[in-house]
Formats: sequence, C-alpha cells, structure tokens
Amino acid sequence: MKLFPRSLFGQMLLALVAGMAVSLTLTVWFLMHDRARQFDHFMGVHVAQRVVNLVAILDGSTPDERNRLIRIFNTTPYRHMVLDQPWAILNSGMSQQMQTFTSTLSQELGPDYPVQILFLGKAGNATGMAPADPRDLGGRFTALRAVIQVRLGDGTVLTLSQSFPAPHASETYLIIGSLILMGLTIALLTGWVVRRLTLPLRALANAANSLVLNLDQPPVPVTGSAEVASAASAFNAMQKELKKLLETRSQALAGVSHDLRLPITRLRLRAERIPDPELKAEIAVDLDEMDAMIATTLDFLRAGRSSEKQVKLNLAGLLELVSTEMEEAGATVKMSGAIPARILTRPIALRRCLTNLMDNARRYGGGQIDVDVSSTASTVEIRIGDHGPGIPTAETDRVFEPYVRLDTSRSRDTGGTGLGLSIARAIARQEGGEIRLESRPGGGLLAILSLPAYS
Amino acid sequence: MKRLLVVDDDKALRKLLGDYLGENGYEVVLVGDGEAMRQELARTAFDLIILDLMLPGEDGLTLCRDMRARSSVPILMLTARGDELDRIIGLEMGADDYLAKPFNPRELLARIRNILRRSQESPGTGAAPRQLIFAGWTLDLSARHLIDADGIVNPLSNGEFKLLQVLAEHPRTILSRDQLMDVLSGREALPYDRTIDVMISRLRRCLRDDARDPLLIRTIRNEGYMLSTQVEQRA
Repeated sequence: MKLFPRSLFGQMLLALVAGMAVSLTLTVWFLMHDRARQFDHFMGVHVAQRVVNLVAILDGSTPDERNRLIRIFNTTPYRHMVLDQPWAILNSGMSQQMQTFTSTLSQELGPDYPVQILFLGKAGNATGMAPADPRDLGGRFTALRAVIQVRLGDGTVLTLSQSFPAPHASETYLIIGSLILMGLTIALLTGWVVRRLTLPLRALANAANSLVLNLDQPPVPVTGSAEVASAASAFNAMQKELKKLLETRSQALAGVSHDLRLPITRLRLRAERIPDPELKAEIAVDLDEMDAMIATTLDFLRAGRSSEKQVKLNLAGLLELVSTEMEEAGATVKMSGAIPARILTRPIALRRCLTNLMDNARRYGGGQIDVDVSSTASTVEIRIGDHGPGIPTAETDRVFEPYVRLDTSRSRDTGGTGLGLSIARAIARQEGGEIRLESRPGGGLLAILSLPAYS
Repeated sequence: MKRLLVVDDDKALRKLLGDYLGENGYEVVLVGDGEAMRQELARTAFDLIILDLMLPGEDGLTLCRDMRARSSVPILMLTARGDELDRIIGLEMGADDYLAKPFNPRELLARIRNILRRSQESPGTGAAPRQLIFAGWTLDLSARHLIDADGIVNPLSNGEFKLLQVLAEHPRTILSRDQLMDVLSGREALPYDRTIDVMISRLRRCLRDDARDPLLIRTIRNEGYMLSTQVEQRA
C-alpha cells in the first residue's frame, strides 16, 4: 500500500480521479452496448421489410419477369440475388444475433414463406457470394452482410445477400475520445481545486511549525474554502491570544523585577549604616547578586526587542573589547581569521551577545577561548570554541531555552542564571543572524554566531 | 555646604537618601513630586537636583526639560529601568548625568562630586554638549559612541568611554591619574593605577594612535595624561 498517497492532496485527487474513471468506463460500456442493440434492432426490421417487399414482388411474377427484376434489383455489391441455389442445410448452430434476425424475418414474411439465414457478419466473409468490395472496408465504415434464403410460393429458392452499414467505428472512437478529453479536463480542474483547498492547509501547517520560533510572525492569510479560512483565522486568533498571554506573563515578570529595584536600592542605603564591616560587605555581595539576577531577567525579557539603533560598527574593535574583558576575568583568548571592516548592528546588544557566548566558553571551557572569524559576501561567522567537556548533541537545542542549565545545580558558584544563551540567541535573531552549537572535533564546544554581512 | 534637592516619590528611599547624603556632608532637602520641587526652587537656590524619572503627576523627563529651559542647576536623573532609551532621552532632556536604580551609594556620591566639580569649573554653561569632535573623531555623548571619519562606531568599554570623555572635555589639559581615577570611581576599590594605564593603551589603539609615539593622548611623565588636540563641542 505504499502507492497510496499520504497527503490530503493526493488522497482527494486519487478518490476523485478513480471514481470518475470507473463511472466513465461504465457509462461508455453502457452507451456502446445500448447503441449496438438499438442498431441491431433497427437494421433487422429495416432489412426484414426490404426482404418482404422483394419476396412479394418476385413471388407474384413469372420466371422470366423474375430474372429481369433480379437484374434490376441487384445493386452490386450491396444486394445480390440468385434463384438457382439449392436450399442449404445448416450444420452449425446460429448465433443469438442470427436467431433474433430470423424470428424478425419470419414474423414479417408470415408463415407462407420459409426463411433461413446462412450468414450474418462482416461483409466479404460470405464465401461463394459476391466478392467483397474494397469500399466496404475503407475504414470509414464497416458493412455487415446478411445472406438469406427464402422459399417462394412455387418452391423456388431465393438466395439474397444484403449488405447494410454497421455502426461507424470512427464514431465509437469519437465517443471514447471525447470521454477521455472530458475525463482529463475534469481531472485537471479537480487537481486545481484540490490544490487550492490544500495549499492554505499547508500554509497553516507551516505557520504552526514556525510559531514556536517566532510568535511575532505575520498572520496566516485567510484564504481558501470557508472551512480552511475559518481554521486560518482561528489560528491567527490563537497566535494573538498566545502573544497576549506571553506578554502578560513577561510584563508580570518585568514588573516584579522592576519593582524589586526600589527595595534593593533602599537596602543598599541601609547597609551603609551597618557598623560591622564584614557583615556590610557580605550584604553588599548579596545585593549585587540580586541586582545582577534582576538585570539579567530584564535583559532576557527585552532581548531581541531592543530600541537601540543599528550603526556601522568596527567588529574587530568589539571582539577586542570583549576579549580584553575575558582576559581580565582570567581567560586566554586566541583570535584568528579575517575580520570584516564593519558590520551593521546594534553595538550594545551585539556586545552582550558576544560577551554571553565568550563568558560561557570561559566558564565551562577550561579557560582558553578560540575565536575564529570568517565571512562571505552575505554572512559573517564568528566561531567561539572552548576546551571544556562540551555538551551532548541532543542537548544543543535545549540549552537555548531560558533557565535551562545542564549542570542541574542552581548554584551561582558555577555561574550564570541560565539566561545567557537565550539572550544571546534572541539578540542574534534580532540582528538577522543565528547561533548554533556544535561539538569540536578535538573536544569542547563550538558556538557559531552568524550575522548578515555589511553590504 | 552644598545644597541638594532630592525629588523621589518613595518616602523611605527619600529619607534614606537624605540621611546618607547628610552624613556625607551635604545639606539635603527632600520632596515627593514636581509641585513641591517647584515650590522649593522658588524659595531657595540649590547646587544640584537629584530627580527621579518616574514621578506621580509630572514625570521626571518633563520636569527636567522644563527646568533646563529656566535655569542651569545641574540635574542627576535617577532611572529605575536602566534602559538605554531612558538614558538617552534623559540626557537629551538636559540631565547632566543619570544613575540607574538600584545604584551603589558610593557611586551616587562620586557622580554628585563630579557634577558639582564640573559646574564649578564652568558655571552657567547650561546644557552639556552632546558631541565632542576632535582629529576626525566624534564622541557622541548621548549614544555613547566613538565614531570615526567613515561613520563607523568603535566600541569602548564604559570606563574607556568615560576616560576619553573627560580627556576630551579638558583638551590640552594635563589630567592626573588621581583625577582620572575619580571619574571612574564609584566601583569597588581596585588597583586603578594599573587599570587606567591599560585603558589608555586600549584607547590609543582604538584611536589608531601610535603607542610609542602617541600624538593624541600623550603621557606626561610623572603627571598624567593629556589629549593634545583641539576639541569642538556641539550641542
């Protein structure tokens, strides 16, 4: 069942086309069959009446007149009559068609004239009769021929060969052809309609997939059938609600973080009055830590929606600045590669992004940070590698989530609030770039920050 | 004794500030909103106003702009957000400096001292310049950018920026390490002697000034540093 399509488009198309093919085939068969039956009946009656007329004229004539009349009535190759043939003895059975024709003839002629059919079929196959005329078989139409024997009133046997046109073969092709054309037209139209139905569904699925990455993505176009359109607008409404919910949460978090700043300010002033210098210093450290946590949380909530303006920035200068800070914090920084002269970016945001990445390398990466910069016409890539234990490939996505720290301990001794990478990535994305993590071949973690190049 | 006017809507913080600044040798008047601030200003003169950004009624930015139009009293803005935009707007509204809550009390003292010294050196100059231009470089004080002749921003650390700002505010004047340290103070006491030398050498590299034969930031042996070029101030 591998051939069975999985997509809605394929399934709908298959159902419609298969259904149409079956119904069209049945229609053609029925039409053709019915047509043949009607033709047989019509021609049977027609030929029978002709034979009745001929028999009536010939039976009422003298033998001399008969020969003269037969010469007149014989229109080779369509009709040929002879009087000198013996009454044939049939040794093979008659076909259904022949039986029907015989009974039609007997009915028309009445009981006075015995009648039998010697042959009924394609013209030219009647052995011993008039030769086939090439015109019969030109392909334009096939003629049928009936060979009939009738015993006249005086016992004379009249043998008559009558041709009549068979149904036009080309007409049959025409019917089949037009039906195929109709089928194709309907299939194409169906394909188009189904595609129109399923395309908005695809757009909806894509939007749902990318919603996780970007809650601010433009709404899904409300197009297509009423059902799909209403699904799209329901999706848009959901996105709006999600955004509102998230914003409310963010605002609450921002509000708390923000409001905590006032008591911390007061505590700092109060701590100044503590006489014990050791206690005073300890409280100051705690307050600094609280301040830092609040600042990082606010940074995280603001990351990626900075109001800072983009400027042309000396990237080498920024890398040097951040490297110097890392070295002041005890790391060794090795810089390599060709740094492009400038980059269009938000300096404070990008500095935060680079600081977070390099700080991770410093903290978890064994103290040596390797920074390599390369660029193409469209992208600048800053690769920050460390010499630490790295992280399992399965975790490279999870570490970007806020408050996720792989060392499970929430202790700030190992450093960080678990927001650093989330902030860095939000910034990278606002700058039109991306951050990905890879394992280094020689061990350690590689953070790759790609940014659009200045053009 | 210098007279300070503190405008903040939080009563507890106001009192704490009053006590702390009082203990550090200032005469402090405390008010809770813009209305009371105007009344105090109408009554007596002050050397510095410490103004909270978020106030009930008229907010700090409006008061700051309004006051700048009428007097040249230095203003130190207190913001609760520490947001980049608030800082820039605050400086553009004519504040002399800003400090984000929660601030370190000692940094507040350092800022107050700096502002008071600056206003003493050049009294009545009104709004501080927002751009300092020298030797093809522009120091944008609002955006805190050092911009080269090609319009490219060269990133500086906060300390480096402050240091360069002080040097550019006093061109062709020798500034001692003590004076420069004072500018950078407010942080915990680190061996600043060394840090200032490190920052100066990084500044020289940024300004593409030859470290062995510097033309812009010159070392005056046993005295300090000097920015030896003309500086144009732009509002």
